[in-house]
Amino acid sequence: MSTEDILADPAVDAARPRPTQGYPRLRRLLRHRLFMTGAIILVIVLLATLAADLIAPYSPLKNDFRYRLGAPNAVHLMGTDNFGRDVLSRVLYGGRTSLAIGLMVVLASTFFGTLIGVAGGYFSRLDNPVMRLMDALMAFPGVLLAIALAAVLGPSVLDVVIALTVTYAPRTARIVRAAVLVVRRMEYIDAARVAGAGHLRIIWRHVLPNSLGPLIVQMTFIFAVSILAEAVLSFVGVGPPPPTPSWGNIIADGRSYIPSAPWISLFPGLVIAITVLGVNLMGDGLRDVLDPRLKLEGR
Amino acid sequence: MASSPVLEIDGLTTSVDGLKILDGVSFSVGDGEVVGVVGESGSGKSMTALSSMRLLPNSVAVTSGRILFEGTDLLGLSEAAMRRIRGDRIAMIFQEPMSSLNPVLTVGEQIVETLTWHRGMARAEARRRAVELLDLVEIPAAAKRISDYPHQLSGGMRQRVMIAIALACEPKLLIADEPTTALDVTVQAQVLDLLRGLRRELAMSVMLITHDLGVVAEFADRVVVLYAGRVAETAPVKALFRAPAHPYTQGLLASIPPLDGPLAQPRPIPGSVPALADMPGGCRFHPRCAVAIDRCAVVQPPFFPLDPGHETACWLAGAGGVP
Amino acid sequence: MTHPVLLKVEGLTKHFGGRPGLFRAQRPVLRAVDGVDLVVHRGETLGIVGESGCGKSTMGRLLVRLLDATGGKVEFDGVDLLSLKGRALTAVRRDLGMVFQDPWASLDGRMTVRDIIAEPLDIHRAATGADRRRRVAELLDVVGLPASAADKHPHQFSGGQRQRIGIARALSLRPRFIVLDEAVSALDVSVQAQILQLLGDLQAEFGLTFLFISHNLAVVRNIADRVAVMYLGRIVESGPTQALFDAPRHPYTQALLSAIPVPDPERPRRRVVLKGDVPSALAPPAGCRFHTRCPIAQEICRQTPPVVTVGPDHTAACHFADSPLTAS
Repeated sequence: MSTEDILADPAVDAARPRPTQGYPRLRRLLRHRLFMTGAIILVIVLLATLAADLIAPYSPLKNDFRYRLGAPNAVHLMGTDNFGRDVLSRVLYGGRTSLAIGLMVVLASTFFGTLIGVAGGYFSRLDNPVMRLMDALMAFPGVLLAIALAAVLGPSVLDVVIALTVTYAPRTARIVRAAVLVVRRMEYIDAARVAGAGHLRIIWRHVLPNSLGPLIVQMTFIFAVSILAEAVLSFVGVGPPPPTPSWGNIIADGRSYIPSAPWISLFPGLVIAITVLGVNLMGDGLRDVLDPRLKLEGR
Repeated sequence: MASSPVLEIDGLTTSVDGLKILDGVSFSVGDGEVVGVVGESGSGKSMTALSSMRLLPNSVAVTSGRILFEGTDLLGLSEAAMRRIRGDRIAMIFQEPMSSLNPVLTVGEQIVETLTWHRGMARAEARRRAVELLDLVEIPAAAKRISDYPHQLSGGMRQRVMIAIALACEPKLLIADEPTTALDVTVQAQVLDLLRGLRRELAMSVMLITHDLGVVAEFADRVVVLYAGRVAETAPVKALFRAPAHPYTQGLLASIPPLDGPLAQPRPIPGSVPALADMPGGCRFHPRCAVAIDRCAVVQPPFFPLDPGHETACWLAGAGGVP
Repeated sequence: MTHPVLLKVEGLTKHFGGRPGLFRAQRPVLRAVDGVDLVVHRGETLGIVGESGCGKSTMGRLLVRLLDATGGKVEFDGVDLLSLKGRALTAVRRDLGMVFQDPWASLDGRMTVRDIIAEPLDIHRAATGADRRRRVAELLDVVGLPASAADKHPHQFSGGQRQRIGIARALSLRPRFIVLDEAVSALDVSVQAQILQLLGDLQAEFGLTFLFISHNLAVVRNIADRVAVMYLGRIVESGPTQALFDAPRHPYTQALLSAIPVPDPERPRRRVVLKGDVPSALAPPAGCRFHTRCPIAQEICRQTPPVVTVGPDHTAACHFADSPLTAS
């Protein structure tokens, strides 16, 4: 006896909160404790990096060889690195690079992923060729593909973004395609077609808005993963080039000094961990609110 | 009705998030009797069936009432004791056979599983019995069909397999939840004929859950009409169709377009079934009722007996009949 | 039927599958609709009945150009409907409407009722601004919903109310021909009767022509002027509703009618129980497609497809349609 039968019972169905539209969702999101925790973390990190000019105690690039590899103290809260640069300042400025990379990768992979996913899901003729190409890209382990691409493209922020976009856009494409396949079969799509709606109108008015839930959750995931991937790329030397700080290259710079001055890598690492945690909490909250099926299991 | 009912539901009340889905549902199923439980969506008919099997989803709680099966309160049994009854003494068939059968097991294995679990039969013996059962539900070439997977069978054949599994242990009570709703009419006719024959042959009691008054008329001995989680009327099948007492039952019968005879416009019941969150006070049907009086909006009507076995929860019946 | 013909269908065919693709193997051909001829008169309701898989839904979708036909001809008000493309097709769509089965899936939950009902108006740029608001209010009134419904979302309505919204949408461009595909099948009986009544009123008021597709013969009898019975992609019998229900000529129609459970426990049953299931449309039987389940099939039925006969209005594709049958 499957749970499906039980859940299909009209009486149970009537009692269940319907997937509501518009503002009720927003209100539920604002009441979602995990989501709000994540959002607050992310806002703090974001504000701190944006206000780096105001709150950073030193220049992130200023060498001060008197204080090389200095342990955290009242003057240098996170200590100094091998050039005597203030780690706190570097982390604050480095956040700009790391978060910018995350944001750009999210935007680019969402744009291309959605384009490809909609093409595959909506136009069945394109489905096979397009999605097989995506499968081929996804056959490589994510970060390895990014490392290889970044190595070929060369070390620059833009190249890192391109490498990560190529890596993560296929994943978005797959999720969007799956959502579109479901939406495409809805009778309201047929109704629009009977009325004479063209493909673009149907995609814009019906398919995209109804596929948005999983896409938004995926965006938070890619943001988090890109920040991590930036660190990995930096670690193997194909990340954003020094001296401009990024969380990834601060960690990478500090790795030779881990036994003697662990704070160089530790603090940016912690900041990455907290940021990723915050983003993931937001993602979970969004999924709870946007995907009613998964939510049911949880309660 | 027989002296000791096989199943007796007494004041069953279930709720989700404090909202009552069933509100004091009481009726019984006599020995060898087919009781049709009729209602529209939201009436709680499936909930009643699932309660009797103790298969309610976790979000639904039984807040009061008893479900006596052969004198034992099922609600008081441990899950392990219930598992021994389920599929053995009480069996159930569902509307959609495809989702109730395991797609990765052959139909034979699924019957054998039931027999070895409940009856402790040896596999070879269980297999022989499985063929007999498929034969019993009139599946042609049963010995061959037994190694088919569910997807290889048509909808009607799958429903027959479901019935065979349900009957494997010769249950005392069969709960059939919309057993023919997903089937085409010509196949529905076959399955109904089959159920009718089997019920006589095996002397089973049947609780037939359906929205289709035609199916009830053809198969049930007695009918329980549910509306918005309460029993509106209980009657022997002939009395219900000849002299429906509750305005809801009357409305339901009048809204069915006739298949022959003079073309009478079906008369709809105005409005729709109230949502669980805003159930009206008093008689739950009163906002849609054409003959409601002031009292209906305030006080919930008790049951008024009309004839032996025929009673209805309507103030007007108590006041000497519904106009 | 003295009314002029609005829709004339000849040899309409729709086959699915068959064509292999780059990454796709050749699939067997599913003959969903396989040579259907029918005529719909202006202002009438033609009921299409049949069991699942008989092709009735596919046919409805072909007639509103939701699907492209494999073959055949459809003349709509003198226009060759199947050959229309681009702007000409968009223009003719103003005259075609459709109401769907599922009151949940047929309305986009993210749109307001106003936007749902006005969508056809928007597509054809038929009304904007205050005019658009007025039209939506009119349509809501016509289907018996309050004007305040316009700013709500579909989930705030019951199944029957949602079906009214779907009907309002179908009416928005004042079409002449509406396909109703199982339009009341998902509704509870008491609500079903409300919608049937509404459809009858609308037809009288606006002179609409309906193609009413349903598996429920009692409902069809109630609303249709004429009825066509489909089996495995073909029409096996068609005729005026009363004639067809009172004196069905095709054994399949007889079986179908006798199989319906009647809500009257005291009526004696004369049932023609058919053996087995409907054969697959992937490999329909030769000769008469019904012969595998027919209680009176003869040798000729296995070999020769029957020719349609009977009266001027009443046709039945059966070799024995002329001989009075006692199938029970």
